[in-house]
Amino acid sequence: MRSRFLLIPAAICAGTVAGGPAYGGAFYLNIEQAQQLLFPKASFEEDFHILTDDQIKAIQTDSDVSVTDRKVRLWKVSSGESFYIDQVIGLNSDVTYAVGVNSKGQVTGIEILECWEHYDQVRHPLWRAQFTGKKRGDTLDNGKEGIEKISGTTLSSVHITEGVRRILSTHAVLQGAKL
Amino acid sequence: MSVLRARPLLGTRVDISVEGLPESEANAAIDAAFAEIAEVHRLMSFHEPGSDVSRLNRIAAAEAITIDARTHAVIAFAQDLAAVSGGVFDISIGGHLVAWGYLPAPDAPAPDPAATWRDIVLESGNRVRFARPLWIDLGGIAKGYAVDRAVKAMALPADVQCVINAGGDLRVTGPRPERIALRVPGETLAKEAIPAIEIAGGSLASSSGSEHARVHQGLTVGPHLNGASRGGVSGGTASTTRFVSVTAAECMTADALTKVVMAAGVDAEPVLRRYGAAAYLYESGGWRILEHRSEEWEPVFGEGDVTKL
Repeated sequence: MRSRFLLIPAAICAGTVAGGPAYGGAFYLNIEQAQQLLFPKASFEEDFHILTDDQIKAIQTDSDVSVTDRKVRLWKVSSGESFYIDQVIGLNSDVTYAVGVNSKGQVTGIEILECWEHYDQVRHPLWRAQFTGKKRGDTLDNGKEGIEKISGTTLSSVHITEGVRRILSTHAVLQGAKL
Repeated sequence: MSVLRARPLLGTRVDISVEGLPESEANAAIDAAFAEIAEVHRLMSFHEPGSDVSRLNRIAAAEAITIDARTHAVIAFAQDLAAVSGGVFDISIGGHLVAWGYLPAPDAPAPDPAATWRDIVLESGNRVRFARPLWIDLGGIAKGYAVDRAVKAMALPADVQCVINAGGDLRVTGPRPERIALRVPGETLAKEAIPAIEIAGGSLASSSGSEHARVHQGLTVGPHLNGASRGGVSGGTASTTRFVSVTAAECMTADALTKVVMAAGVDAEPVLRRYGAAAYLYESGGWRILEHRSEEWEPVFGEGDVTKL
């Protein structure tokens, strides 16, 4: 047996499939990289929140998605938008993704940071593009009018869709909107 | 030609990849591997009433019973590791895992709270008896063993590259090293560096406490309990916040040793040495490397030709 331990700088690892084809999935982006992809050249200020019970209730009622993590990982973008990092349950483990939201409450884009699946088509630009422009109250499910469900990675595609819906409600709550 | 197939087995997803064989031969080898893994599952499941494990838990305290040679081999290894680790590894902890809600209660005589691995008696002819009523659980070892058996069942030529991955317990055979990124639960965000292990002709298994931690009678407990102290119960909860990966020649060894390192931390070094294994332990925000001596195993920090696989 030969083996060695490595700590691979994330910047180098991004875009390569760590572990080779057998395991599938990888850390694709770190937070800074996702920020620059969604909001090039902007600067970011951490603005994390801990949701209150009332806020959680409001978000759950509005989005019809349960809130499992009280912590909201939000960054304020220098150009006025909001950048969220969120995790949802995928096939094997959590999928970590980022959502950009503009001042009108519309999704500007999503990026997958980490997804441990062989069939990680949730990273496909066309699938992700379906979210762009969506805002709270728009059809954001996996029905006919909604986001396409991906066969082979159904769980992740459904959960990311729900996650974005929850984030849009969370965004509204944090902006002080009465839901 | 590369073939990758996956199947839900052993309570997880088993992925097998084969590279360097015609497709039909690769598929035949993978079929044989899945069949063998299913067989190990059938023999060693805690849940299935007909498994060797269930039969032992039901009957072995009353009389010695004959079990499959494979189950016997796994128990023999477990007993060896129990002795070497001073009882930190102990397959007689089924009763505790049931009490903490990790396993369903079997239809078997209630276990004696004082029972330990020393009450498991291996007799010749693949016979086993228990000196006291107890419940064994092979959950900490059978997955690795299934991977080892699958490698045997595939009987691949030396120049064929193959990886069998049972939910993170994996074995690599063939000429090339494989690089496996380690995913430490809760530590995935904003990391500057991604931990990975590169391995050729060997096995890697990982365990973490935090993903499975739950609260029992006000204490945080994990599924990895210290057989000697019957804690994992950890007032300090060390074993529910650790993450460990172990490399060893055989996957059963790697799988079982993750439990010892989870429970004992750096104190597990002599045990690792005994089995020619190394461990990579993450706790309190940093990595510790145990029993890692050969210069070939030097860790790589910083840059390098790491984009190449």
